[in-house]
Amino acid sequence: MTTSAPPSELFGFDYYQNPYPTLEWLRENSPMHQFHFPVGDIPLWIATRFDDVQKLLGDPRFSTNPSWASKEFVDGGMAVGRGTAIERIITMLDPPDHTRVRRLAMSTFTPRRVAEWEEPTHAVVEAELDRLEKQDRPDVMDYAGAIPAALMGNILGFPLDRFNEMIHAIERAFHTDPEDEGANQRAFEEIAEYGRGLIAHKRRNPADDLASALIEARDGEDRLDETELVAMIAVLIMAGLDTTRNLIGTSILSLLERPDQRRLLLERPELKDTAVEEFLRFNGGVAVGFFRFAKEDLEFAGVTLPAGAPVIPAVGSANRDPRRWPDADKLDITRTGPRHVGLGHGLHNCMGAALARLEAGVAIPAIMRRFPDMNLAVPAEELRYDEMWLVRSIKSFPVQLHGEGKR
Amino acid sequence: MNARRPEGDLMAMLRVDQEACVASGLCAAMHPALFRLTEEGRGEPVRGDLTDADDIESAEDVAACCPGAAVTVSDPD
Repeated sequence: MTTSAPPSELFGFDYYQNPYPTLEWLRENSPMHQFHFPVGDIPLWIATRFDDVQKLLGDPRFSTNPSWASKEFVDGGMAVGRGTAIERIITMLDPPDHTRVRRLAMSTFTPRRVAEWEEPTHAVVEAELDRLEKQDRPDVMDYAGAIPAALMGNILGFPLDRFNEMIHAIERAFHTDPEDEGANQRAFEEIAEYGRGLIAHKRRNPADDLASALIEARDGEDRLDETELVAMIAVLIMAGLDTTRNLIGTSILSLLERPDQRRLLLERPELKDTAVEEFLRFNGGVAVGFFRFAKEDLEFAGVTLPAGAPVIPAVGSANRDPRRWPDADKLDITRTGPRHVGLGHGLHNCMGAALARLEAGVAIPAIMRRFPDMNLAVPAEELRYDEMWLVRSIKSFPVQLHGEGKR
Repeated sequence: MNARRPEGDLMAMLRVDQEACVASGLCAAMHPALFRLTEEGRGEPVRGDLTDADDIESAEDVAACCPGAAVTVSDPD
């Protein structure tokens, strides 16, 4: 007999601290699990096995656009960014709008174009390591956040000097707090407003950068409408900052907890690329993908879903599925196995994948090289993950850069 | 490789560079009639030559959206 409920409640405090026992229970006992989200008390489903998650992400019978969602989902305040420009982010557009918008930005993020950012990335990382070393209370999450902020700022063409405020806004936007449902939308509006300010500045000061190119697409040939332009800047900030920040942070923690893997990465720097894929698989920044809504009554993974049913693709669970990887719960930076879904799959796969790989592949080994004796400044069990449904985010990650008792 | 076609017949070659492909699954999700995924999840064209104007436009959309820049639509050799 198995128990009839997962070890901890989905998207509750214990789940956020360590979701993996719950996800394993779901994969084995209820792979397409129906439950109620803590915010809005909405019935929905979560897919946790690799094959189901990958199929869900590539299945055209599902859409990320909340216009397909059930009325109770929308009325419950669950639609991301509703009533703000955020509801037009590319992540939630269907074709042909999705195609038109993605075409405008994709060329900036292809592996060949991103390779041009390799030297600037090294420079940013070294500068941030210098800055970290001067801190009285060095925190790895500050380091992890500063790197994507600098890179995205360079690519977009404006300094993201308020990036810390944006990181907090993103956290509030995806927070699950049943006491304050309006807080999410206010945070989304704050992000959109920041985007509008940056666009106004850039219209006066155009240059050879992505923001100017997107504004030109708006103002010149009218291929982006104003809301889409704001949404595009906002999504580049949201997706470019917080996901990479959490990938870098959680991966550094994974290495501090596993001295053998940490030593291996230092001794064999050529393992950087497989290591980054393993970090993305093992505990990549993104915990679950955006909701997928059934566009019609349908059968999926043995379950009958009514039109409008929201399904959560649990990519973090798919990436630990033992059906796909032997010892899936073990971090092994030499792994060369099959591809993970840490960067998504299908229509909405990550546009910034090459940039995320570059940033993680420079930032994670570099901090290990610079501070070979670095350790946690607090017991590991005192670290807390934020209660954000979208990403796995360590709230604060204090370290002793030169090991025990030294500064 | 093909027999000579009548003048004015639309024709484009569709390729997926297997080295550049990052197995994102985008192509098959965007246009399943034109692309399918291999066992390893890499994209490949269902047909290498396109003669329909809508198909050619669709393939060009995929080429512009592909995260690996692995898809090319070109004039026949």
